[in-house]
Amino acid sequence: MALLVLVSVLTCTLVGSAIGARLLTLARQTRQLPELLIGTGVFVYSGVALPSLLMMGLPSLSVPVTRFFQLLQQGANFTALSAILLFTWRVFRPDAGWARALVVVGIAVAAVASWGTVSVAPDAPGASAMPAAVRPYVSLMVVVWGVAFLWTGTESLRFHAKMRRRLALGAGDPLVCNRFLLWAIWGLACGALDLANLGYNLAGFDFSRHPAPLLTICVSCLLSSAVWYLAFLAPESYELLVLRRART
Amino acid sequence: MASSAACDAAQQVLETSAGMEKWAARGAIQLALMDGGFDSGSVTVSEMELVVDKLLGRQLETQKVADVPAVCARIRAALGGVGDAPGTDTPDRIFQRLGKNRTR
Repeated sequence: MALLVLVSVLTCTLVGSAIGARLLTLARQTRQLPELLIGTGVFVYSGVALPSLLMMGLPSLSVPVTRFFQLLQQGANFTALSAILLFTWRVFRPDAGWARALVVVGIAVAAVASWGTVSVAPDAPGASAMPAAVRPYVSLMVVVWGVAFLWTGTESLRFHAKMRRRLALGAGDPLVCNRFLLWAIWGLACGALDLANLGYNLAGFDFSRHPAPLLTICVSCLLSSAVWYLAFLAPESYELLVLRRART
Repeated sequence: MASSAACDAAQQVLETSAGMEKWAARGAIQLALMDGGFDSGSVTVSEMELVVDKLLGRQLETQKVADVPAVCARIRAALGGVGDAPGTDTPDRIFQRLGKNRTR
């Protein structure tokens, strides 16, 4: 299981960092906020938060070094989550007051959860299992991630349905329609996996040892890698397949 | 959200040429746009032309508008004199930019 976790996390780190960097390069060219937000979210999560999480699990590290990676991981996790929430608001509901309020509340709750995780039990990274005092803050963070995933997935699925209607009329781009579907699959699937994580945390499972949360991490990492690759860096063969299916 | 110039032009023709009430005209256009997966705030002239050609006629028939083909022809003519306002960043335009095809 440890090897599977290592392979899936490293795969997600490599694929996500490359795609995040490409999106950030695109943001520099277009000077547009959505590219900057999604690029930041993907790059910081896969390139900083995930490797830091992996490093925290190494038994040979001293407590101060592990603590450093914990702070880095929490900071990156918070940044990525905020970026995904802001991306969803800016792209799908820029004029909706409720969406702006949801983003503000989500970011505020995530800040409290991050602060709680790193401050309630400062020696937690060196402990053999997650201290009970940290669990409520972890649950809080998992809930905000769940909201972010399910929201972006639902909005994207809604737009996928619109794009399908346009395609039926002979308008729209099949690749864009497929990109909405891929983003929806990522959001909804990760949202479901996140709910499973919430259950594991409430049940008191040790996230670094119990096979159920470890398997969830593997599936989430591999799914994210595949979806990001097909959505933002798809090979020509995949694009041709999408275009061919749209014509039939 | 304000309607796009294409949407406003089509509504104007329905009110003046087909004698429809403002809200009836707006409703017919909204329903046709929804059927096509478009939004009134961001629909472009070429997209509106497609909606007029393929969907609006059916909506006008259900509202008992007389001589639907002639009304649609007048809307198409009116759309010919309308330009799209630049800078409306919609989800589909953003997702178009995010793809690899944009940077090739």
